[in-house]
Amino acid sequence: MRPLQTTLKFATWLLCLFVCQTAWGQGLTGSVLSDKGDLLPGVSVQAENQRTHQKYAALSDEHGVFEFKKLTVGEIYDLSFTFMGYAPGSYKGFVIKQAGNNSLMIRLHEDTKGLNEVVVTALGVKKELKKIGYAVQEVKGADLVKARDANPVTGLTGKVAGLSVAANPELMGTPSLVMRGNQITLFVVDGVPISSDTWNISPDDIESYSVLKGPAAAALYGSRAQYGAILITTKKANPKRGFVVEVNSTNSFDKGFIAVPHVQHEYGGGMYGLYAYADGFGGGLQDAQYQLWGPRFRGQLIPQYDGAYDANTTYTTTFGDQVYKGHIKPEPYLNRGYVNGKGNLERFLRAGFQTTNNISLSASGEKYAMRFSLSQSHQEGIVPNTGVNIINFNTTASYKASDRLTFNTNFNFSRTYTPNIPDVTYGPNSLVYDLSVWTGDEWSVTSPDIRGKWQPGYKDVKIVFPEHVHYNNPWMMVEDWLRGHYKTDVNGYISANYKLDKHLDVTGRTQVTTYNLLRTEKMPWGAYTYARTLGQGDYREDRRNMFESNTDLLLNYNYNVTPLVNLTGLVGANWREFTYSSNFTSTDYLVIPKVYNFTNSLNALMTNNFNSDMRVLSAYASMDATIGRYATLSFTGRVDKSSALPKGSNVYFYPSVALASVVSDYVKLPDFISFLKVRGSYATVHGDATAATIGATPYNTYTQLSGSTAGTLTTNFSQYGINYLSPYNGPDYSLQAVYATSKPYNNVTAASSSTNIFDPNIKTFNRVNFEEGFDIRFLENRLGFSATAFQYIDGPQILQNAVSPASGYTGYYINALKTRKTGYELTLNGTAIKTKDFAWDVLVNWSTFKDVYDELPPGQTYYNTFFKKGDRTDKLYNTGFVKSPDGQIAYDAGGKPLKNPVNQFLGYMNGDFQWAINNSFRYKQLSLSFQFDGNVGGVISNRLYSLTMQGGANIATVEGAIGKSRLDDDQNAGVSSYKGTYVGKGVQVSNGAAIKYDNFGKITNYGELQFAPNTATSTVQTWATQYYGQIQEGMLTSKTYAKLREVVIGYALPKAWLKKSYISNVNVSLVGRNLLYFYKDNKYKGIDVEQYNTASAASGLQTPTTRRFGFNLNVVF
Amino acid sequence: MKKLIIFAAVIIGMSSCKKSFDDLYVNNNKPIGVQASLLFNGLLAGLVDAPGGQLDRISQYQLQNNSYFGNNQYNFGSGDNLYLNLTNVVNMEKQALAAGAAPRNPYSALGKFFRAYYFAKMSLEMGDIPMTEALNGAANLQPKYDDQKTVFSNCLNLLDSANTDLAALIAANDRTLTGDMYFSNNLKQWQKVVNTYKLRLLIHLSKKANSDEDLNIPARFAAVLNDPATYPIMTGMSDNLQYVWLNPTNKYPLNKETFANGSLNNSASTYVGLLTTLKDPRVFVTTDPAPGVVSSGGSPTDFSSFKGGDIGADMGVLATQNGAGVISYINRWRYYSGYTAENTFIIGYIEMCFNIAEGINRGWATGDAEAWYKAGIKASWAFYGVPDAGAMTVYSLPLGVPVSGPYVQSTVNVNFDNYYAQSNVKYAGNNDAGLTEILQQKYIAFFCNSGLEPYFNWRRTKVPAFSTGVGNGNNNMVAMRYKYLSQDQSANTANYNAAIVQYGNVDDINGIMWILK
Repeated sequence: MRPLQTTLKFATWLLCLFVCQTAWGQGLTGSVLSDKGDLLPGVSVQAENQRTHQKYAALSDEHGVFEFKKLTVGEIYDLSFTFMGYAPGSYKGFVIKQAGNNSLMIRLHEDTKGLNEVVVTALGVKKELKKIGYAVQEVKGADLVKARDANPVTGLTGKVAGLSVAANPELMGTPSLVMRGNQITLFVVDGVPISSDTWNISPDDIESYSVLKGPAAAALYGSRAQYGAILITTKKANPKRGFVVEVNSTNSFDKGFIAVPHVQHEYGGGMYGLYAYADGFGGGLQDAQYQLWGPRFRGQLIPQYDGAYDANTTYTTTFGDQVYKGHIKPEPYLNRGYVNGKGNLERFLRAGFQTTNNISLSASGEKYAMRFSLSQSHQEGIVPNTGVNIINFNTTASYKASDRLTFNTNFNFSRTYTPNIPDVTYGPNSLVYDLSVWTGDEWSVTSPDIRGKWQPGYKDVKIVFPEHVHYNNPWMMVEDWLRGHYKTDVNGYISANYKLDKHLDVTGRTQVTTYNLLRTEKMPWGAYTYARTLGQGDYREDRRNMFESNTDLLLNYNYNVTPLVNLTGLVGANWREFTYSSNFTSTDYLVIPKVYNFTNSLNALMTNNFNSDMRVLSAYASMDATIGRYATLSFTGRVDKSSALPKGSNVYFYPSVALASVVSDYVKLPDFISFLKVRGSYATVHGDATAATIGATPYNTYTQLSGSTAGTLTTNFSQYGINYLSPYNGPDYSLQAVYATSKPYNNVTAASSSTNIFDPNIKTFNRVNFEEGFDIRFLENRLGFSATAFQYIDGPQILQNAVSPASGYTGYYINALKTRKTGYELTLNGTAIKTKDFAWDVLVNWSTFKDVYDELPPGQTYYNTFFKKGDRTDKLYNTGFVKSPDGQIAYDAGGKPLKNPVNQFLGYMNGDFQWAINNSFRYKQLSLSFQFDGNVGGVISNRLYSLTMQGGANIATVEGAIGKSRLDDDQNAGVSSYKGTYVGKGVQVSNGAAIKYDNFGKITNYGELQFAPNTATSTVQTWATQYYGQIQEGMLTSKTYAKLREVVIGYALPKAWLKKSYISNVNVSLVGRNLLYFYKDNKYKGIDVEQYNTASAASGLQTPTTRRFGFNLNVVF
Repeated sequence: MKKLIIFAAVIIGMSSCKKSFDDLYVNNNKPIGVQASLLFNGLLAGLVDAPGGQLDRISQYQLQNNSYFGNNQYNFGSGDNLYLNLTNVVNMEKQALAAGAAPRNPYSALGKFFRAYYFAKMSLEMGDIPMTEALNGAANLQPKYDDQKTVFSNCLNLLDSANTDLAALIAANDRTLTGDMYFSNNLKQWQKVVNTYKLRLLIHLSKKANSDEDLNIPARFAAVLNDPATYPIMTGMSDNLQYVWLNPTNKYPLNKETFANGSLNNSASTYVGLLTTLKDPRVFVTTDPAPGVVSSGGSPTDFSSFKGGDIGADMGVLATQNGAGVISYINRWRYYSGYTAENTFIIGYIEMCFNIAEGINRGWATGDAEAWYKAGIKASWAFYGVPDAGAMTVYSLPLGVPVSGPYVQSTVNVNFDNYYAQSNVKYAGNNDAGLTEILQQKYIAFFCNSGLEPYFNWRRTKVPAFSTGVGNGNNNMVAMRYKYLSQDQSANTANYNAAIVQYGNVDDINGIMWILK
């Protein structure tokens, strides 16, 4: 055996050819092996006579042996070998000798990234990448299981151009999966859609993820895939490998903050430098809903929450002119919370921990292939007493009843359960509200009274804490105020495939996906939050059930019409049934503490339920016409009839067409270009009135909870607590006028009319997509570059257009408004170095898009007050500063910045582009990979920054000129004539003229205004509140960031070591995730801007994000 | 293949449908039709303007001292969108007819009142508004604006028509109204409300009384006073259209659970200063003495201990004064110590007394202005529990004491006659001084009730003097109108643009609307 030749006839793959030539006899026989030495059955072999161009074909048998019997002695033949998953091989100029046997042995290289690679496309159809006329990118499941994140899909971050995956910093938070600016909501497993909150996917059971980027790719799924889809192919037993056991285990911990508020430790709670505790409920001096504008820690005597109470003694505390008298004994006012360089928040949080273990068994024989897998994951959150457990079983089986008939089944059970996850919203129900923003070092999280939670004699009734209106004892919040989440997901399918002949096969498949969810909240006595001011607890249950089935019947065909033209495709029909029901019940306070039962409600129970059903009948067809080596033209069509739309307009059709042509197959290109494919596609998709997610109380609010009143599926029923959104994909009933009912007075029902009107002829909305691109490979395929451009025309949409309120309504549902989205995606991948022992691979993804208004509703020059045709849809309009002509901030006579009375354009909410660079190195058994990714451009109102500046917590409030004035403010606390010393940078109108504005807030009389530098002084607190609180422009921050996303150091034990054991493979890896977070200004680094990957105007609060370090062990028996 | 088809058929059969596509389309979770009484309930519950917020600041009774929680600025945005309420009125009327009610029925009669009430309220806030072309849904998405005179004229006619209808229904002993949380379905009470409210609207038109003959304001005013049989009006406090607060479902916005908010607001000098100038004992009931003044030795029953903050001042100044304890809070005993504080007037008898006094003062009708003026003051005293003569217990809460107390209890001696004998209280006659006295007393009686009425009255008469300054925002001015509903700028552009021509093509909050000219 000796290497003879290496050819590079095709472009996308690496190819090595080893041919052994020995004398064996007449004709030609040979065998085909993989580069690992396995015999390859089913390889197509072609022999072409160099002189006559006559062609002969053969197929290797189960021993990898092929045979040509009719070759002519003395003639010279070119041989080519093709096999799916392997790089093609060829051998040119084989001379058939008269005497002896002619024999060949050839090795094909397993192809890891060639363009003859197959990818999974819509309905689970595998296609060769070179025949696909639209962008699709595949990610191997194995790439995501090592440096795994808590969430199964956040590992896709940076792996696919155009897909932005924003990890959610919260335990059990749902990541934001944005493809080309829209949230992906469709997850398809082995060709059938499943309901997913992303947590019910078990990464260990995933062979690969295919990301369908645009409508053309997803046209066969109809409206659910209009924003793209994530197709998941589950692992199956490998028919070649017999019985295999694989164990994969990852243990990781979360430690070291990358995004945590930077706070001051010099001033405590209070306002205007004042503080004296009486009851934490407003009885004292600024002792309730205070901010961190209290006195400086100077050891001065101040009544505090743990001071001794003496009804018979009146203690006097003086701040300037304020003479405060109370019965709490004043004690030295000192910093208690900041210990050894860590504040209360850092000292309260712990290292998170996660262990994920999977064992899978696969078995295969002549007629069957089965795989059983069990995964278990246990995560402990960085917030004490929080965590998540996930159990997952997965079974796939395939049975070949005959040569023609095959049955396949997949069953997946997933249970996500936790007795307690934190509630991270803005409000006293949220730990981060307490610890990141509003309380400071005037108390210590480790002091015994705080740790003991309950006041002596009032266990389970009254809490120990400095404040009792808006802030809660954190230990009570995590140990007593418990929020359970119990979700069971089941999905599976059974299918039968019957081969009618070599051209046709038919598949029948039925699938179900269903979940059952229970969420509970136990709010103890002594806990206070918005709208729950009595402090006597509550108990809530939120139960949801979703069931969906999809039954498909489809016929696959594959015909060679002429030697040049091949037609493949399918014709099918789908029946989708959907049903959902939910029930939400809450007590209205508890009579007896700790009895979390509805019978224990103090006032009438608050309860509601919701039911919905939907059916969609569909027929679809696809055809790929391959015209020799020139091109593949693909057509798809789908027609849906959906019950989510009104009669008369509930049937709609989606067409798509795509063209792919491998130019390098038929045009001679310069040698350095080894492959060039061009592609283009067009598709139209429609949508109905459905919603991807649903909340706890669709269409209902409760007066007692001060919820918002919008009648939608995601109506926010309560002023506190998260309105958890679970997967839905059912009807949203938005096109129907219904009366809203509520109990506004004395628990008596009242009704109000729909605030919307509807065009009776309303139709589905339209998305038209054009996509163009090319894939090119250079330098013997070492370097690949892929570029895609896309244009979406969205509209006419189903638009809830704002109408004149005088019509009696606020919204008119019509078909109107078009937006045009254009974008570009680039992928570069390559092997910088490849030798026997060392390899360096690089993957770079880059993407950008923008969306503009293309056609406004009829008769309107403006849409949403500010937007004109051609404007980007992500322009952020919000409150802005008034400015002088030279751009300086204008101040009023009180030294506060002036707010423009009309919202102003502040910036674009979307980033300019996203990027990711992944490097992987392999040296012998050792591998190292790391990824940087990030976003450039875009702005957001940073609420955490705003709140910490307004609230006096931010470290910037004690630094520089601000910090100097803050000292003055503290010295003058309570002095009634004091007006502060801080002078904001900017100007004032110096001639007393009034500023005049037009309807867009533009100043119309600059000519009458004279400006001079601002000289008015202010206290830091009142200045900061106006600057950072009342004016969004003051809290605007950039969304530009970069992260060192993941680092994996792996080692595969040499096979030689394992030879004598039952073990065939052992891989160990050290992994790190989110190790570095680059953001240009530390002041703003309290939030992880990564999570805001959509056009969102403002950030929220978050639990600090941490680095993750782990160890992965993978053993295959 | 056959097996497969059977297999597929079985599976499809298993998921066989029970409902048709049309049935599945319908949202069964909410009604598509409701009884008129349920819409009526909703309208009634929404009539009240809750105290304890922006309204009290606009009328300069209370001020905010912490700009994190709000401010005292007059940078008005859009006025109230009451068209949604009016759609409920339209549907209430339709549903009543659909349920078989006679063309003249209590819902249609009260529907006319609601229409007048909501259209007039929007016009008072914004000026010209769409009325005659409004409420037509998709049939007219760009309704033109009616000038304010047309709006008021229509509203007065609607009230007359409601009065006529109610009289007929009362005569016919109609008992078909249900769900009335204010008057237990007693139409006679509603008839008094309608005519009392009409007096309010006529008073709002005072600047047009002599110049506008079409509206015929003095005659319409006199007709109500002179013909009580046709136009019954309120005769006492039991006739008030007022919101009664309930625990636990409808707590007064200020209550012992929201006590901590109390320190974010102070009493404003516009109100407190007027009371203390008049040596009015109502100040002891509505206001606490400034805590720092008392802790430094001031008496909780001395008028000089009651200090309002200057609402026109910079927020930083107010914050500092509050911190130093030199400005007062609202009376915590009355407003914060329980759950229901006081009833909140929507259309009240006391206001009516002053409206009548004003009309007579202006010469629109003959009568004893002083008697109505005095009746108004006395009713207000009684509302606050101030006796005509004798000892009154007053309560205040010092700093350092929880909302549960102990409150400081003091006794003050009051005497109405002495109070009334003061020259700035005693009615000065049907002249400008007398009018100012009426307006001052009306302002005092409007404390924490009747929505924006005190502001509208100030805007019309400039009594009492409102404080102005940097704290007002808006170039240090009190705004004169609300902006139009913002959707009209994009969705009803031509009509919106036509409506703002009078303000120099800007939707200007300092523009002067027709009734103020």
